[in-house]
Amino acid sequence: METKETSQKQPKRIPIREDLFTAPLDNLGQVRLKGSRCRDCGEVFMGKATTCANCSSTKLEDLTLSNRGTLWTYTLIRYQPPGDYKGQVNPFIPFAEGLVELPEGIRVLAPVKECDFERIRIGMPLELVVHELFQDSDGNQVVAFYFRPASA
Amino acid sequence: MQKIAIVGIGLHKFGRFGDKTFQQIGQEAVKMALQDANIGWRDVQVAYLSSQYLPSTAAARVLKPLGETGISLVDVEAACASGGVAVREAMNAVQSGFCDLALAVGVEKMPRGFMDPMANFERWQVQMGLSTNPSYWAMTARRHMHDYGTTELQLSKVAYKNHKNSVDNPYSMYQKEFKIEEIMASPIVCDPIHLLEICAPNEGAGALVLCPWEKAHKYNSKPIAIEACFHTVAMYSSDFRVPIESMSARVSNPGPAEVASQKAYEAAGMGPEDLDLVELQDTDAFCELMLYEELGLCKVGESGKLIDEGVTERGGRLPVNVSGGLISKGEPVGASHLGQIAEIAWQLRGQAGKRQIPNPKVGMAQVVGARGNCCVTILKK
Repeated sequence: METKETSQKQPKRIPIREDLFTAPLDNLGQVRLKGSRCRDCGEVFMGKATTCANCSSTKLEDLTLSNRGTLWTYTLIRYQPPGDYKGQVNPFIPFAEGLVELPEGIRVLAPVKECDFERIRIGMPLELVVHELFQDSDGNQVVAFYFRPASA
Repeated sequence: MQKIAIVGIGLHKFGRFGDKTFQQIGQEAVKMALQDANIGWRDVQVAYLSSQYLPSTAAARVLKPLGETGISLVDVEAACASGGVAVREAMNAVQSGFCDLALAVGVEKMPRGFMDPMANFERWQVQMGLSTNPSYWAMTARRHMHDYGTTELQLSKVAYKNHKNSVDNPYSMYQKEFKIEEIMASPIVCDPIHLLEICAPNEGAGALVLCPWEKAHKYNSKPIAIEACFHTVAMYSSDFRVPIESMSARVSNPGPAEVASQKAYEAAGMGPEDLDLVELQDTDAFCELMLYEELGLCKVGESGKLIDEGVTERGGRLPVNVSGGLISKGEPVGASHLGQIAEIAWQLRGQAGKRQIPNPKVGMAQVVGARGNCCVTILKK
């Protein structure tokens, strides 16, 4: 039966946003954030950029962003964010949101989880976590990212 | 460049008005401005209407019922700076010689409740929980505290000042004074920003009649000169704001308020030392502190000191937001800048009632919002 076949199929992983992650998504521990670097001015962007917002050059090259960075600033999200939030609810688990500075010269906005609010501080080392955030209506596992305090 | 005068001022209170339509709200402000300029609707030669949340052809919807005269009725939108663009376009129409009497009007009736984050963010940002407002301001505040030692108490002092000022402004949505302790004890919306330190979206309208300076006295015995009105949209990596997904760690450009104010000072042949009062975009209490620095009212990093010293209080050397600011008035986005200009113009005319400051000659109005849209206007008696 068709429905049975569908339910037995291994859920497919899809990125929460196109061109955000290095492929493939089989081993999430190996996945990194993708970026673009302007070959004229050196500015770095998240995902696939085709024009440089700094200098308008169209000479951009792909690069892989580091999976480690430092917390440049943050706020604490104590209430469930508005709209179609796919993180854990009932009960909602508060988390930090921050700009994470990567060695490539870019500060990426990201959730910062697995972090004690009492110990969060600007400058703390963080590491990337790529994870399955939720299952969409087609049965796909949607892959997203956050940062957490770096392991030593 | 030909000097432009404001000869008519109209304002509809900011707040929530139930079933009252945006047309009614806008028309009240327009009628008040026309009366102030001693003209009728049929004298107006062009009109620019700013809003962000009204349907298309809002200008025609608001203004045609006053008389279908066939003039150009133009809608403009530039987020929180919408009103500034309406004023600038009206100025341009007069300066170009196209007409003598131009109307700038801002009208807003914003949806109630939480704004749908999909209006500003990408779906993936909402799904990942990156769509809480005012998290961006909170993060900027946190970094400012780290770099310059700005404190939560200093943020609360801004909110205290503005709430206190609002008590004497009948056009304000809230007119209530709060103790510092009450402000600091109000719920944290986004660490370190509290509920009594942010502004609410709402409804309201403002209208201005503009004409060439040399003809101003024909319409009003107390014309106010627009010395400068400048609009800009933020440069690359200069403005950390919804829905930005990353910032450069290599490039830092001057923020839009710094750019717009510098251009305005230049056009007016003035500097911050010439200002007698300022109405600025206190979307939240920290926003006001940062703008002290970007507008050159103090050095970078010294905004906390400025509020501590009482410089920006109503009785201080440079009063800021004597109207109560957006924290008290609320922010009907398209009308906001018109409201600021009305307040400054009344102050310069000596018509600000109980909140009048002694004999001001020059004032600045400033707004900034989505995508880094920013406008600065300098007015002179």
